[in-house]
Amino acid sequence: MRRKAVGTSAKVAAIVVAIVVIAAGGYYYFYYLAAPPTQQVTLKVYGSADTQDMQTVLKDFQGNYSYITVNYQEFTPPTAFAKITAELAAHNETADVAFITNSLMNPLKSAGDLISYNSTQSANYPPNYHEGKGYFATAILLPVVFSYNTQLVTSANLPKTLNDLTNSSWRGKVIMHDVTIGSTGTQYMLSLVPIVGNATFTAWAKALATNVKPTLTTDTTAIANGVASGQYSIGIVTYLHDVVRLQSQGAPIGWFLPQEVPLLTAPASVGIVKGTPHLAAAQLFEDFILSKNTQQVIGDTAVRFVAYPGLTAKYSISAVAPNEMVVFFPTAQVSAQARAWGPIFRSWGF
Amino acid sequence: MNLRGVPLYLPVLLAAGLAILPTWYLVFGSLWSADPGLPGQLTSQNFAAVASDPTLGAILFNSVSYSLGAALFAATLAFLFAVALQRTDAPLKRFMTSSLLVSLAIPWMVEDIGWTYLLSPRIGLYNIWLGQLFGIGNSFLNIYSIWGLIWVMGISLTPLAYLIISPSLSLVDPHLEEASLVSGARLRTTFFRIDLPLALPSFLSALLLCTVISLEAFDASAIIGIPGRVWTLTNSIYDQTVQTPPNFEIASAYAVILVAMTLTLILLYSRSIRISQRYVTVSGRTGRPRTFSLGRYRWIVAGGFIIYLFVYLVPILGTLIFVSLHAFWNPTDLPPITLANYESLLIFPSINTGIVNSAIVSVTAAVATAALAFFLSYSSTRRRSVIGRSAELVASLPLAFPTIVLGIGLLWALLRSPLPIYGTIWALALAYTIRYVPIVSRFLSGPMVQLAKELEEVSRISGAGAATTLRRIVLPILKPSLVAGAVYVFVVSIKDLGAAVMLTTGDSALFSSALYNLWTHGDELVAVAGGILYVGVLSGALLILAIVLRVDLFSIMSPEGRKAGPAT
Repeated sequence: MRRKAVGTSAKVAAIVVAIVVIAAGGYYYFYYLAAPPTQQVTLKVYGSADTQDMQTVLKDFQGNYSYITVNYQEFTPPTAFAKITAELAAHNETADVAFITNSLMNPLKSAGDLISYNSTQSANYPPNYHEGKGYFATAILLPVVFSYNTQLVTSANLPKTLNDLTNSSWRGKVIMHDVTIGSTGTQYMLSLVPIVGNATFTAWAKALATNVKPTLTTDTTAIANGVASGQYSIGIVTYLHDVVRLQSQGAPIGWFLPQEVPLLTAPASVGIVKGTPHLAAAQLFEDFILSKNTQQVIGDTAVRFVAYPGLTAKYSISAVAPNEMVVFFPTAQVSAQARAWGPIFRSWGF
Repeated sequence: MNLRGVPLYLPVLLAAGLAILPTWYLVFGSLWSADPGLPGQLTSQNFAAVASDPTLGAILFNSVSYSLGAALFAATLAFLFAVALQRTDAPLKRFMTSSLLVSLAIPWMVEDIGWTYLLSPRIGLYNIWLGQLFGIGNSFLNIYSIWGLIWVMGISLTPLAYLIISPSLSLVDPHLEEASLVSGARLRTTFFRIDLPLALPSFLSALLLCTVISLEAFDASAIIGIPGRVWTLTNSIYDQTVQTPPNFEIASAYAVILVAMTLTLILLYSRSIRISQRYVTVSGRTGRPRTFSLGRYRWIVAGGFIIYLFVYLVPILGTLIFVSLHAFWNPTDLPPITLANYESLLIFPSINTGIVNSAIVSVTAAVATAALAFFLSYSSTRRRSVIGRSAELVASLPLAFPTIVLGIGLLWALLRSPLPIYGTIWALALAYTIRYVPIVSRFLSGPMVQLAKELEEVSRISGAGAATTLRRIVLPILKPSLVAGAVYVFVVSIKDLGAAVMLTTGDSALFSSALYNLWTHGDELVAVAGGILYVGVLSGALLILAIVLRVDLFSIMSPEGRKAGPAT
């Protein structure tokens, strides 16, 4: 009896040990041997979206892909453009991914600095949300509005048309994005040409420069800050997300569009930079940014407008500016012309 | 005595080679038809483009008038302070002297940001107060103008000008004054006929040096000049690099013009120093000159000191601290107090890395500069060979290079050469080493000349080799000057913005460039909070350096102190 009992116990123990060994071996095999090696990768992103606004998304991404560390470096779009082109030309290390407005994505693509990638998420977006050959894809929308200080400008004296803005009573009280450097401001202005007509645009822009002499800044956020502080009454080429952010903090700022002007919206796009040594990680990043879940996170984070069509988010254009007609800008043609227009605007008095 | 066993020529040639690198590429870049790294050909089109720029006249006029205006303002105010503090019985003198010197520790960029909150039209606190007091509207003062630039730069340079001028008033030979008084002249006449003429060369030296510094400075030109469309040479160089696409080649052409101007001014400055040395009145028998009694005007002068402090130093720092405690800035409708901007500082990786990078870059540049400058100085004072003199001359080239120009030159060099340091902090350490080697070698040349050759000869006769003689005799004697030179490089490089904006990438961000990036990217109040942190970190670092190295930081920051070098 006793011998039989010992034999049974030994068998049970042997079976348990065998199961544990097989399980451990299987775990080891599947997770360490059969799985592809996950080498730690640092993905460098040159982006123009605020670092603060990107924090949640970047944390989520690194939570999903622990072997990828995102080194997000915030630059103004022209600076990001300058760095990528110079570093590529000199065969130096540069960004793996560019995440900037199309006003600079178009020139990057024209310079041959991007590579084509059709994201797994592209099918969820309309065709005009990604570049025809997949060089970049829209991830964030940047609606551009005219802003005003609600303490300094009443609704009665708010300009109704573009011409109202050329009244010399606004002299010294208007700030706008620098139209002489070929960047967002220049491209916004050029995008108005087909909307209002060349002659009307030229007369308006010249009158604006002569009568009002707007203060120019190379930073779009500075426009909203300047208006909110009361230093300026009106801001031209203000990003709507800056206005909404300041409004949520209690700042006296509002936005409007002159009658002739639709809600011109600049897409901020993701593109993979030529020669990246981390192509797979860059593709994962693009897919991740464009995915519905991430877009939801972006749309609920203060304050960025999502690109994902039909998404119900706190910060979507349909939620904040439901009645406005959205027109994307710039076209590739406008981006290509922008550099030449800088000196022209300067000669007009800007 | 010659230390022939020591391969002195190697570090000397290295210093010369490093100086040639950005110079060559700057000239090359100004004559190249494309941006760095891109194929192109040699052309004069860049200079033609600059010459045909309709705004060139305004740029040159602004640069000259702003730098001269700021220098004149600084030198005049400094002269008045020097007279009051060195030659009168005005009260609060020690306190005022300390306050002047403390302001040297505030980075100009932080000061400039502070002024924008005081003197901006409509929202500047001074404008608001003036409007309320006198009913003159709230845009009476406009910082975004050439007058604003002159004011900001002038008042920033005043402490430096004071350090140049004050010795000429405190070291006047009292016998000259006594002779005047004995001859029947009154005190006032003696002051105007004896003391003032003796101080004039120092005044001119301060004027010239402040003109050079204003012409070179990027901080005020960027923070005040660009929004005000007051184009100067430095902000025009920067503006060309942020065009879409950037025009580095045109920027280089502007930079060459700027170098030509600073070179001319530096030559004039050197000449003025030589002339001022003819006015030396200190001899072994000299005592302190007499102190003029101000009588009932004593407290009026003291009131002037207090006005200066309460127009400049106190409101700048006070305003920055106050502004940094708000989520957005609207002085007529202040939001609740918050520490959000300080919390946000932690989010920006560039701030954290910037602090560490700045420390590494400045320490590296300080050590490398001191080492190279030592050999350069030793070679120039001990071995007067043609090669040595030529190398010294070449290594002096960066004296005329504003840091933004040096940044452009090195950008070209690093993007076109196989040297694999572009985008790293070592590029910045290299830039500051190149820039400050000629200055620190001048720190050392005075004490080096005073060092008797007999000391080295005795060492050699006693059997010591050349290297041992250097290590055991020369270096210990020159240690105070070397430390002073290294500390000077640490201080000026950690405050620099010019080279930083050209050479940093996200990974190699310095504290100064990270703050400027925040400022230009719309995170203005976070930049202000960073500025307060910047002042705190810098003051702490300087205090630690002063204690650990036992050096008088203020004498180091003084160009006169540098010229003479600490006592050996």
